[in-house]
Amino acid sequence: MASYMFQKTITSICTCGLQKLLPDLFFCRHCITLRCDFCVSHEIDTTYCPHCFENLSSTEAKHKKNRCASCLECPRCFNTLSTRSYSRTPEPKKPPQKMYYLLCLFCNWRSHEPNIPDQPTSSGNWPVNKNPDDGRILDLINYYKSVTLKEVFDKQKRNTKHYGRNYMHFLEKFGLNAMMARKKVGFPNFHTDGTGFSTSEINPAEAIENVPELSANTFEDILDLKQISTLEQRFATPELQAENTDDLFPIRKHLRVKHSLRCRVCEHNVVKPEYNAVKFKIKHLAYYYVPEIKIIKCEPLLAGKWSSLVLKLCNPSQASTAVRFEKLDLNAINIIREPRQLEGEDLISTPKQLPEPIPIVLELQGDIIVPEGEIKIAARDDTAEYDDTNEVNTDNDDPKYVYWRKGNKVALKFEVKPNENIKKNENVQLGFVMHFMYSDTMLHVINPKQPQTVLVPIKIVLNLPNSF
Amino acid sequence: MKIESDFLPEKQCIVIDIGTKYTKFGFATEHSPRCIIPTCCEIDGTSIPDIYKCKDEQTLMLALTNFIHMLFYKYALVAPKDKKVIIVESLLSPTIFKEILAKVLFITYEVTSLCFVPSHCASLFTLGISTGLVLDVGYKEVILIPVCEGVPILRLWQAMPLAGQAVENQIKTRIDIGQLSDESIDSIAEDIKARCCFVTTLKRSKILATGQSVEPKTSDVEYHINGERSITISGDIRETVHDVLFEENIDEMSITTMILETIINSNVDIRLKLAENIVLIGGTVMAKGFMSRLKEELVEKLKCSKYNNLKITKFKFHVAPAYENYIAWLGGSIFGSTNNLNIVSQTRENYINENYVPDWPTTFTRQKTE
Ligand SMILES: [Zn+2]
Ligand SMILES: [Zn+2]
Ligand SMILES: [Zn+2]
Ligand SMILES: [Zn+2]
Repeated sequence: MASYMFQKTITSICTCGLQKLLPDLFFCRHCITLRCDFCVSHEIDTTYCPHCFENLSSTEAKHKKNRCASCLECPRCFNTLSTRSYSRTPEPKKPPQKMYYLLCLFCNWRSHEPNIPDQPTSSGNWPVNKNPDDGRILDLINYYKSVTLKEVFDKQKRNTKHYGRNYMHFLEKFGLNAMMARKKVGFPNFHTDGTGFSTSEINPAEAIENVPELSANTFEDILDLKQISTLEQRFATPELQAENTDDLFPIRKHLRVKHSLRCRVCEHNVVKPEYNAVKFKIKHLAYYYVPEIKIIKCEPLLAGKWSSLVLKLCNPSQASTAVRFEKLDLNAINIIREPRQLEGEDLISTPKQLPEPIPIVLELQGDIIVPEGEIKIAARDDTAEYDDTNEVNTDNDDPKYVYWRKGNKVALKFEVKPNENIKKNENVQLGFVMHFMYSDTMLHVINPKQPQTVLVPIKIVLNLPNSF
Repeated sequence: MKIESDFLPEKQCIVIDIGTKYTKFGFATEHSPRCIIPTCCEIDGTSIPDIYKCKDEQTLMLALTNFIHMLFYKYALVAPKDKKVIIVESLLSPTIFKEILAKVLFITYEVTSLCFVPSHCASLFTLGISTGLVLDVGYKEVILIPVCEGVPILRLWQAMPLAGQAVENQIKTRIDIGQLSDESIDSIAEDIKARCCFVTTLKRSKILATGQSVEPKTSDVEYHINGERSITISGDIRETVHDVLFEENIDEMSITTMILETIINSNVDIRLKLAENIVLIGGTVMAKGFMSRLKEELVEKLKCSKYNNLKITKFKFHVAPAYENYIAWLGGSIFGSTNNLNIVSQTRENYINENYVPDWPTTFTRQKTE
């Protein structure tokens, strides 16, 4: 299955120049063109816990260091821990008391292993680990902060000699308003002339000569690998990095985010999730608009010989469309990127450039004959299965190109000829441009006319296996 | 202390240390990184196991784009737009890597400011000292740069491919892991290195090198591969795979001689200070026994005629308030809490106008107050 997913027999070239599979592409209805991961900007919509699905505001998430307050993960296998309970009678006369502990249903890890005491409540105030070096690091931070502040003041003192005593601009520049705020709250301020400026003191670290030796039993002790944590387990809590699996503490579940995606050029949303539901407000995937192409028949490819290739096109949209084909012109492949000038309401802000258009480097290993003229494809109709009428006028169909049609699907005949010098077992890369008719139903202010149709060109690359 | 944190700069600052094997990632002023993850990513379903190995600029740009995307949206859970970023990097990291990283951060992700902090200088912030001999033993190479009064002495830098990877290569040649894909062999070798091996003493290593056996003998370990096969890792291998780091090559260079050469080439007045302020950083120095073995090797080598006029009798090592694999990151985090960040960072505006990435200012404000 996985190999099927990654097989890139048919790819489309995104507006930015990257080759992508159709399901990975978006369709911006304002720019009327394809966008991919690379040419949309990601915004964080909501933060949630992947286990209990609680939504958290961004400040809450920040405060909790992006971890869920209630869900815990097994430090050994990273699956979610369950809370288990039992009753105990602490003293004969008193009613039994319920006690809780944590258990991993996958690897059987228990909270008894690192000696976490059982808790009387199910939510359990499971102990949080403290970095043993917190105090020293805080001292270092305060020390360096005051040192750099002193430098700023010294500099300012020098400057005031020339510029008089108006140094407010200086305070702004270096964010020294904190200092002013400090004054307001009534904290002792640092002397503004810099003379009596006191830096917080710190003892520089002392280097040691007697470094820790290997303990005497390092050699002979039988190593029990079950007791030694893996790097992955150690790195899950960087400040602890316990080597003994008995010292591993439960990890609070890391939160995730729902993204909303915006077209980088026009800044309109292409995907926006619904708050608190597994749904989307906006979801403009290319898959919903662009006819999907599949290979249904391909004659064995022979160097320098024409063989026929049948492609099936399927219209996913609720409106009928038409396609028109064109050969891929390698010389012009990097020109005309943005198909549409933005105007009127589409223009939220000045249209931007993509971060960096990626030059398309493509080599074709053969020639292709594409069907001529316009080929109509019926709209998708979920009831069509029970209904044989075909609302598309097929009179104009040229049997030379149209193999068959059914509902919103049409099979088209292409001819392909691999180059003379093609090697056996080497894939044959071919390309063409498919223009599809997109009915633009957006109400653009400049053009308040009824829905108009636009031909959207999409560059398709075929990578045909040649293993016959 | 509560008040202090309320007046922190309103823009969040992100600290990233992209190592050749593992990336350390977190927020400035925090005391440990939020995550330590392998430096690898995917481009359209194809995994890129080593970002530093990307051949052409375009692949490197896509790889970094995807990697930074993962850091922000999977771990930091903040959009990078208008955030400050500190990159803790080796002074020897390739210019092209730095340039593309800056382009990705400024243009694709629109960060507000960016600052490259050299890992060797940053590490000293975790100790409150400004002069030291910083030895970074990472995955691909060991890099030594002395730092004097906060300024890296670049003329004395030395680098050698003697680090975690060299140890793993020893494991791969000396232990028959079996017919598996390259990636699984690599990860098994790393696992064996981290969980079974240690750095033996100089005395034992010398005996073992002659083929004799030592007392007490190191126990063998049964190691299970993918729960299917089990192999025996002999005690000798467990204790000697790290010896490759101390073996001299044809130019008589090893980690030991690197340190001594740097000391001998530095000014007479700071030699003693460097020898007594050795700072070890990087994941590989976390191997059990590494520090004591390095000290033994240094003291032994000092007897050599080449070095005995150094007038050094002892070597002293620093122990930072952090695990060695994120010391440089912590230094970046401490640096990010100070005002100097605003002074030495490059702004997005400046980047767009100038279109180049400045070097770390070597005249960087001294940390020591005179
Ligand atoms: Zn794109
Ligand atoms: Zn939860
Ligand atoms: Zn588990
Ligand atoms: Zn758009």
